[in-house]
Amino acid sequence: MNLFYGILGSAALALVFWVQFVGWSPTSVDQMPNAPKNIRNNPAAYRSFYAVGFRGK
Amino acid sequence: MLEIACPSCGDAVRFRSESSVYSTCASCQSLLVRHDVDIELLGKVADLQPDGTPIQIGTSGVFDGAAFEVLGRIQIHHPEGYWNEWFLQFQDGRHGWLGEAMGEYFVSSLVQTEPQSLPGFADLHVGKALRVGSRELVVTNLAQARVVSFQGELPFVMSTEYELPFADLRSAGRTGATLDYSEEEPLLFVGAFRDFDELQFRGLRDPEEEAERRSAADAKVLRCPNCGAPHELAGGPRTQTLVCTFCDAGIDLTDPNYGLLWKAQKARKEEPGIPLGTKGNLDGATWECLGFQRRFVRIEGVDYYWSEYVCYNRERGYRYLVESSGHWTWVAPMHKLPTASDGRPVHGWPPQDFLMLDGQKFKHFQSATGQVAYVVGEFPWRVKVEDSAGLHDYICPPQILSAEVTSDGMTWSLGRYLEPEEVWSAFGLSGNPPARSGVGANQPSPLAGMLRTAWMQYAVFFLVGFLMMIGFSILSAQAPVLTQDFVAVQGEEPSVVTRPFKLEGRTSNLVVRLQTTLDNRWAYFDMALINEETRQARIFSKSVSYYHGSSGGESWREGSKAEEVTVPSVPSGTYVLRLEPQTGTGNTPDNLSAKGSTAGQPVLKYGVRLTRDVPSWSYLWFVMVLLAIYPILVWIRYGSFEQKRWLESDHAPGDSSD
Repeated sequence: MNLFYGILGSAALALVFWVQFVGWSPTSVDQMPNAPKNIRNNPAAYRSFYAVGFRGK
Repeated sequence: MLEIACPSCGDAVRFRSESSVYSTCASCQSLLVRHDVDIELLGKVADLQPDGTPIQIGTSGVFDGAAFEVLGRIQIHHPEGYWNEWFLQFQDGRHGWLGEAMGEYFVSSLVQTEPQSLPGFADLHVGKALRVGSRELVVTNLAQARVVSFQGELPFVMSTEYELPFADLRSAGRTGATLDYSEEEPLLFVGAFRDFDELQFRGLRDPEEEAERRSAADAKVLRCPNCGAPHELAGGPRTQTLVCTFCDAGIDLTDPNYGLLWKAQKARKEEPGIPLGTKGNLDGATWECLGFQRRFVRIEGVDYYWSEYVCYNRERGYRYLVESSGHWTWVAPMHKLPTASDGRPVHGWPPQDFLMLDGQKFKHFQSATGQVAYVVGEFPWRVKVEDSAGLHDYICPPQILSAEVTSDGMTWSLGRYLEPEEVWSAFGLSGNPPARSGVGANQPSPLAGMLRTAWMQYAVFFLVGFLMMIGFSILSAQAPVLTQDFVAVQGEEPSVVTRPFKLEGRTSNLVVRLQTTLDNRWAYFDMALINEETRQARIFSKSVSYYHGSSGGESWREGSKAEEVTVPSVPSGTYVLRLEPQTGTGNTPDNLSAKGSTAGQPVLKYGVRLTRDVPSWSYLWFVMVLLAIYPILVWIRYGSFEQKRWLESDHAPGDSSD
């Protein structure tokens, strides 16, 4: 049992290391391609997934 | 060395030591005294009682590096049986004494001291502490003894009417002492206990020759004077009491006529679980079960029974195999005393909370008066049914430290737990041992090692995790990337885009901190992190709210004006961050785009701070909390086992007397 705990603990620490290294976080982030190029000049030209997608086109 | 012819029988008699004034002829038991070169015949010496000792005149040995030879012997009888004092001559000319009883060996020598510095016999009691030189000793035995016979060379005259009141003293080490009150002034002998093997004896009695000589001398079989049943004594002359295995009568073997101590026992006959006469191998020696007794303590009106087997080995003496509810303990008498909480050898009474022995802490488990209910077989002491003694147990599983106290003496013994299968295998018994019930007082916990390992593992995990996070904290960039402030104005487009910023290094996180001027209002930020090269957008959001007020004269606050959100695993590149805030005081957001009377007025001021590659300790704490579950569960099981152990003690959990 102690051996299993040792393996489990080592795996958990390895996971913590990987999380820190790649900068993972539990934040819900969606990815969308093709944001408009003129967004800097016209912020209103772009609506996010939440603002446009769910209200339907 | 002086060698003369015995005036009685003509056989050679030797005086090996200059100090030897008296000697006995080995052939005719004549007692001879030396006056310079003249020898005087004083008479005959009484026969020695056969006691099974392996030592004889001429035996040699080593004590603390010094070789010695046995020159003479005094055989002494006391209420518990016989012991021998062997007169020793060391190679360097010194003399000493080797006390031998029941397999224990004590080498001592006379210490010159001021007689008035020693207490009188009447001033002593069992448990009294005395200071002898730099050592603290405790009286463990007080008795009246009598010289039975003597043999070989001695430095002083002896007679068999010699009465010997004495006190044995022991220390926390192997040092001991004897106070001899046979003369006008008390004599102090100080010495040390040694094991049989440590003394490196040579020239011991041949046990086979001894057995032949004894069987030739005692041709008749020992028959029980009550029922006539024949008995052969496995313990030989060391047996003091024989309880007939047929009629349960007790026979006094120190009585030349084998007088009866009792004819019957009140308790019903019991069959020992290990048949008497069975031999077993434990501690590197062969032991024979000679005797069996059933004892009990009465606690709150309930009798708790256990069994004891008297086991014998010619060189090592006696050990006791104790069985209680299927739990077995192998017990050996101790030479030294444990120390109390004040560091001194335990003295006096009542029992302490704990005692120390060889650096180990023994906790008090139970004190009670033990009584003998039934006995059968051979015993090296004068057994009486309904004998009682104060019993005090201290445990440090798998060991148990026990004291048996009577008005005459205090005996300490150390036991260790044996698994039932180990006992059955050692004695070659068939079938299964009796099943265990409950938890034995000194039964080792099967979880102790597991718990220790689990907590050690947890500690290692914690240390490794902590050092890892320290490393990340030092090595992470934690680089500020962007700081920019915005104002949402009524009647204008609320969404904004930050100026471009570069994210460098490996793929890592990006922490977005939103600092607002909210006052009893909420805000919701819809955000998109857009890579200007790939046009990939990462979309996320964050709510911020801050309320405050007072109620009943006390002010309150809820929420915060600033919040953070971490965007995970963002590769390097050039980015902009688009923010679209919503704000309001109720359930629906204000329409920031509407132009009305408040057009142009600032509705929400906020700032954005971006930081790249920020380590987070919260993941480590989360993992450590999860990893603590296993050792905590083992701890709970361990505690449950210990609770069951202590239920049988004087310190039961929930006992209000503690």
